[in-house]
Amino acid sequence: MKASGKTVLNFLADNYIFIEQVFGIAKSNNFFIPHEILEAKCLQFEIAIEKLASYRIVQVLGDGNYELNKRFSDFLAFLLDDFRLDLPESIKKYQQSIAQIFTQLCETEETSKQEDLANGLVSEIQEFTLQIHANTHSLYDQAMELKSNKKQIDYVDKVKKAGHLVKNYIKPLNDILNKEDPQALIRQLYKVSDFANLQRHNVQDLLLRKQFEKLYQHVAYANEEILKNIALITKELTPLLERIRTESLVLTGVNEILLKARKGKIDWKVGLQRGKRPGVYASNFELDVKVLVENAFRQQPMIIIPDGVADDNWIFDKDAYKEVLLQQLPVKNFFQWCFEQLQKEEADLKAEKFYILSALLFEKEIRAEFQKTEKFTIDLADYELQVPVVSVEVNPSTQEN
Amino acid sequence: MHYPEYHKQLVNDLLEGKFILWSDHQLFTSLKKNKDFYAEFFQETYGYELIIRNEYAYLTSDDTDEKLSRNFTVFLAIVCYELSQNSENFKEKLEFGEFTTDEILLYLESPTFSELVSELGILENDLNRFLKQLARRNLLQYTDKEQYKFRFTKAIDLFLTLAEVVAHEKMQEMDQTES
Repeated sequence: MKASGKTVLNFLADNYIFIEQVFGIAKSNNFFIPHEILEAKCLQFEIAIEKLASYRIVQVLGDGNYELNKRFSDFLAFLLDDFRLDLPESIKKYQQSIAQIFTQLCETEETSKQEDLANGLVSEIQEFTLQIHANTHSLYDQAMELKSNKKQIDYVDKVKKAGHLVKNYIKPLNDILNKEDPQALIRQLYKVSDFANLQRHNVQDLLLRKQFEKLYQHVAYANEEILKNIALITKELTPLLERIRTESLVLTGVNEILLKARKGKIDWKVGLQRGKRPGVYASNFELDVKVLVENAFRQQPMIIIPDGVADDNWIFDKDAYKEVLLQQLPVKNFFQWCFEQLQKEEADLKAEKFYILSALLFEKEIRAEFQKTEKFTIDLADYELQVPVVSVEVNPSTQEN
Repeated sequence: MHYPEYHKQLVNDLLEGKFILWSDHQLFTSLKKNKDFYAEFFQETYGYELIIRNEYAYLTSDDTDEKLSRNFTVFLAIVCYELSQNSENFKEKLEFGEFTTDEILLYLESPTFSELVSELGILENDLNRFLKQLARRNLLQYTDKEQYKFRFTKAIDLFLTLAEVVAHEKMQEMDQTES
């Protein structure tokens, strides 16, 4: 015997959590429910599985599994504000059906047919409005789920999912609702609204006039609903998904960069300038050399090492540096050599240390030769020095001794 | 010959590897108004390419062994990673947020990255030196006299775009493997 509506409604109210969970299972599985899962759920809530079939909440399929009844799934989706994401094509079909019915309504003069067509138009507009609402909210839920990333999907999948939603759902939905497009459904609705507005005042037949009044009000509500949804799509949903997409994209790149960097495979560079000016000969060339030499001499006696420890723990071990230099002689560019020696120890080298080491130039074992026409830049942490190229070699006079 | 306004400063700044920022309106506008002249000038004189984006401009060349852009990319990647791990909206923080040197030091010294940071020589015992180098290039701007707090400039978009390019490459690679 068929259960009464009241019995079914009471069952739904008494077992609300159970129904909510069954709906969740069915929704995630394209509205199919495997037998063993429904059986386990029924056992958990102590509900007879047969009751669900007898109330026509589920349909038993040939293979013994179940399907949630379409009427119930629509009702529950509405009740729980939890809609399935429909393809834009399923919304676009209303564009055609509304246009067709409207054309017929404009052309017919038969009152009863006009009533039927106006009714049909109301029904189509109602469904269209509901579907727009359902899809927008479903998209919003999916975007929020993607943002919170409860399922812990990786960044690459987030980029793909966000891109997929924008490309396949948001953009087509936006196109359907875009009033700039002459073919857009919203423009069609404006025409229906103008027509219904005229008819609700002009038609003689009272019933038909009421029908047009109803149509006019529905179109007004539909327009309002569309505007709300457009605002949600353009102001919230699109920027949110775009942000998720770009953020995930950057983080995908970030992870890849760090991975490659760890493997020593970072071979890219922007190719920025090094901060050096091009080698231009200074007008005060000789003066520069003089200052450098004077500084070198002046710095030497100024090495005061309190308790044997220099500033930032650097002790100038003259003998050690000298030995290295003597081993490497001849050196074509003495100042470059000094710079490289010190930079091995410290990347951001300061002028003070550079001057101290430069004093090796005046050791008696070394003979220096200035290349008057050549000059280059030493880029130190606190100064950019223009220095001459000075080649050094073993002083033959000291060797003879 | 009449040279564009701020010519000397523009040439000097760009040759020193600085980013010219849109926020420095006078310099940026002069550069943008005379972009053809400067593109040719740098190409013909130094063989450098002048890149002008909406928010910044810089010189680039294939013939350089600079390491700063590589180090900065890794540095920024670490900051992004750590921010996202802390559930922060990292893009918003990078664009509008203020950082302290201590906060950055914490990220760089995290066990996940300390080895990498040391290998690349980003810290070299002193984060401040690295940050000052970035400030000189207009990649960040200090917001206090003590040079303890700073904000990144719009020039970092160049490096975030690089991350996007790397991501696209990775995704293409994955798609090819799947197919």
